[in-house]
Amino acid sequence: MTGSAAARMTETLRERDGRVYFDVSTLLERQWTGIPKVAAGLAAALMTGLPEHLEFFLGLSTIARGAVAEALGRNTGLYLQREVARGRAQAGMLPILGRPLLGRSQGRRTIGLFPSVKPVRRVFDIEASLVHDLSTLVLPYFHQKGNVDHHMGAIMADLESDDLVVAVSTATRDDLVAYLGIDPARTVVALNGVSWPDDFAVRAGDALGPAGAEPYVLILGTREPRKNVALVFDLLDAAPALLDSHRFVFAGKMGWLEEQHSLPRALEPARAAGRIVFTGFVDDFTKYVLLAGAEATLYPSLFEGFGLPVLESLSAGTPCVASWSSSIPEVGGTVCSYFDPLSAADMHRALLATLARRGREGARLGAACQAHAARFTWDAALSAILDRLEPLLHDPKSAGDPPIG
Amino acid sequence: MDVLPGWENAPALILSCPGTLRRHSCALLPYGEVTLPQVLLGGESQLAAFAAAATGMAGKLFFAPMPEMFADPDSLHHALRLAGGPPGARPVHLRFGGVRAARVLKGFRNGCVVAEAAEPLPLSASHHPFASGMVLPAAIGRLYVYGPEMRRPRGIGGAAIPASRLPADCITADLPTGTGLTVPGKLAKAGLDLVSLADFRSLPWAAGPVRARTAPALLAAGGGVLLPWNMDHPGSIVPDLLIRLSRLAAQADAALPNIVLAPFNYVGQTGIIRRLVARLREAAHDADAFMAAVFLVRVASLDAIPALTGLTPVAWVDGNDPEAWWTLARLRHCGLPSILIDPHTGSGGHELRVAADEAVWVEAETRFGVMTVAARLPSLRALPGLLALSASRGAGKPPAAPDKLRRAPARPLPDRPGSRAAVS
Repeated sequence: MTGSAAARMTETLRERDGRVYFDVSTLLERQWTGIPKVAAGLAAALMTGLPEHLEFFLGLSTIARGAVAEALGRNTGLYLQREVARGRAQAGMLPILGRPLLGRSQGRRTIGLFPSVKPVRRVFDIEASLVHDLSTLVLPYFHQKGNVDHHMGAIMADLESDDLVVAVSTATRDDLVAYLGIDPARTVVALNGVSWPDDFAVRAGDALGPAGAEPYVLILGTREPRKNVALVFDLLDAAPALLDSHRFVFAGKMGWLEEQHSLPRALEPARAAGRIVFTGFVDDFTKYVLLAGAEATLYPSLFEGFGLPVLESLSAGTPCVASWSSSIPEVGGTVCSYFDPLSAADMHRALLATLARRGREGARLGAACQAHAARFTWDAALSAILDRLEPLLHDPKSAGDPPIG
Repeated sequence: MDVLPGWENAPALILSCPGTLRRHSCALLPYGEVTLPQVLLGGESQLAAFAAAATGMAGKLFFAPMPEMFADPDSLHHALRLAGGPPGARPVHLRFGGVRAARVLKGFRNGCVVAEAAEPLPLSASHHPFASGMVLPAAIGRLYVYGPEMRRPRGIGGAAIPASRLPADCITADLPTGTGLTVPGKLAKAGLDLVSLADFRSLPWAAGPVRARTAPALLAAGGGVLLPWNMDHPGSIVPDLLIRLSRLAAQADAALPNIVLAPFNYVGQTGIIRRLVARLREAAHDADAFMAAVFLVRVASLDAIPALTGLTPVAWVDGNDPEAWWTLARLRHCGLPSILIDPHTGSGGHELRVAADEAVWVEAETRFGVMTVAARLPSLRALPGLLALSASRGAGKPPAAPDKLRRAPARPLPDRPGSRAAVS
């Protein structure tokens, strides 16, 4: 639970008749992966931690809590999107429209929390937004132009209007400092959490059966150049014996710049024989089953803001062999094996070591993975944020325009 | 280390520039083990020339294909362990290859080598903070420039960054001297990748080396023109120049020399070349025949320079390119005469020049979005002069100036009234 941080925030908000407003725009997406998943985790934690002082909003409208709760229950934004389109989810307008000075003359009492790009700015007394990664800034050539425009079009204005910048990892916070000159004192690191519906573990056990699946290695993630799937192809090309002992299952939707990560012709026979499998997009339960049934997962990404698939793998009790790039070691800690993301040979070494360890330690290794992952909770993430936001309510300085740098 | 003023005490030096990641076998390697895809022009050559000049740093030079992947503290220890040095002494990361592509190695002292002269800012703004080429990441603590004409980008908040001048050695220290004019039979073996635009395919080019079946045609023809192409310069006139040349050939029945494009500052994606091919197919006259006589070249080894100068006895250098000065200096050192396509009327100092007498807006699709940049291009009236001058240097045959072009009325330029096509 968010515990003392939520209790302190609740007390302060009660004194001031204040509210935390949470932007639900990212929850309108149909498939919740990445940022929508983070938003959902935080929204659920907020509903528990600040039940009396929480509002959801979209644009300048407040959104009914029930509509958000239903979306969280369904694990998709499909119905929320429909209800918004029909005008049935909107509960009213943000108080700014009825109160021109919105508390600034009465002390600070409204907090806007934005899980990603801010659709509106300088609406609340205090504003905080999450930065998930700076890959569109640092590696624009790995992205589609629309994606670069979406994130870069807003980032400087978002950061300038934030009282607190929430980074999902220390690596991302350091990128904010190194590239955009953000004052570290104006940042907080809130590591993402991981959670699955309660029944997934039992249902996955049923789905896999007592014998489990034929041994396979899972590579989870959208196929785009930054994810560096081509290195796995290099590995399989150089060490085809791996395909005799294990299937290699690639789960995730096809992204962009396909030419940079398409299957080499030399590996086509392995695909035809079913030793290499591409599942495409999978729903959450299928993903969980795939994770739980794998001998190990491989995560060769070149750059991450956090690395949620690493945490998802560990939470399912499956060891992850990951690149040591950017934020990934923060997430994987000491239970992951790491490799140089430009070296297929190093990946080979790390994968063999993990498979051997899996053979030796079996359930003990799985339990260690789950114990590590259990430290990453949405409550802990929210607590880190609230711990920094609550003192800002006492700050007599009005929400100004803190300069970059 | 006198080659790096201001940071002479660096215990180790990690060099980086944009490029193709998959060419490298690990994330940090001793510089002696690096093979760069092309070494004659652009950021890669700036890095190579610097390394050659840093004679006192033997054993302390490293190369990081992607320094941005290192993070403090978890993966940074990997870099620090490899780079070595006494405890507490922070190594230096030196970035080459364009201000827009400047990246940092967190936890290190970061410097940026600026080889770009001032250029017109794009008309169409990108939201990307680094798109203008005038802004650097906050952690860049020092600029290194080759001369006073280099641009002076500022930090992300507008802060001035201290600048030092690199020694002159850092321009050509890697180049051999006294190159002869020879044309070896096997270009790829010599370190020269060559393929015609008609035969261009993304994956083989990206993977390299390229052994194109059309290369012998160029060898047989000889007398080509080298046309360096800065792919990181959104205002490059190279694509427009090619289209204009194709039309000139059609209108004036001019015999064009084989044109050998030398792309540089190339970040690994082949999209810019693919877009050029698509554009030529759409806009060039008799596109298939034209593209069969336009080649892409990549100098993968300095040993290939004699072969290059044998294939192309003269070069055309786009004076709009902020790195034109670097290209001219490098080619001059290789013994390859260059004709400067000069957007500045009255500028002296270069023996062979043709005025870029027509103001144009160049629109380029970049990783920062579509950019529109003011540039100057030789008009159809000026191009015969360029071809004639090239022919006098052994490239192709001099074209007959078409009557209809000679009769065309002179049109004053909006910002340079009175300028006219000139060959000096």
